[in-house]
Amino acid sequence: MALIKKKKIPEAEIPTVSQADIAFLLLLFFMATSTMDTEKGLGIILPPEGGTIEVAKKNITNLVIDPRGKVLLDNREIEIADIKKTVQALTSQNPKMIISVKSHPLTKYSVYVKVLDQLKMADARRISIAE
Amino acid sequence: MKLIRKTKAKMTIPQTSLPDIVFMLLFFFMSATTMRDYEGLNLVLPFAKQIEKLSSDVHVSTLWVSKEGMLSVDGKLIDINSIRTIFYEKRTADPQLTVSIRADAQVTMEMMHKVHKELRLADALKVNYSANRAI
Repeated sequence: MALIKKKKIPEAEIPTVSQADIAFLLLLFFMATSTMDTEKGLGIILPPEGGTIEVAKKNITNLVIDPRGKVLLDNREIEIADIKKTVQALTSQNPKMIISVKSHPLTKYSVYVKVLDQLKMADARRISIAE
Repeated sequence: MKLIRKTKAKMTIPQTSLPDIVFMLLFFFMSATTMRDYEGLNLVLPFAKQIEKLSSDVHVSTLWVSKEGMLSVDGKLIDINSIRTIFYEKRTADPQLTVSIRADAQVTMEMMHKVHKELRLADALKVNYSANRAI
């Protein structure tokens, strides 16, 4: 008997046609979910503990924030939005000028950040945080 | 006279390397993605205009301060007096450490003064006040 049919061996392959589609799907998922966010904020260097440096009075400007959010620059009341201009004028007259920020314990942190923001905008490099 | 026909050049872009390219992009996004679900406290950040990005993500440790006066580092609630030991250890392990303070806008400066004092004792002087961009 010559007519014995050979059984076909079923092919055991994983179809790779859709591989690109799957990869695309994963790619889109990761592209959509990835947040390349870095921390953002106002950077400042705190003074080291214990070290007090004598500074000439003419080189220091006191900036006081009271509990109601009012700001006093050298004992004169000033609007927060005007700090930038005033400090810019001060630092252009005297580049060694240090702005010493003092805040009352009941001052809100948001006001303090606003004031620091203004000082940063005025490009004040020498900011001192007093307590 | 017989004209010899020029064979037409195939005008298809080879697609065999497409999965490789896609996989390469996929691996890039997979490694660049930070699935960071903030394990911090519930708070509203203050707003500021002159905010800058922190230069590195590696040398940063976040300190959370909520308006109720709770403090959290690395997903754990901490006591205010333990800031100095925690950050002193972090600072010795990584001298380039920046402390990112994520404090609620309603926090009083009394609390922040205490935090400053503790950080100064820990010699972790590089501080960044997290804020949202003001419009």
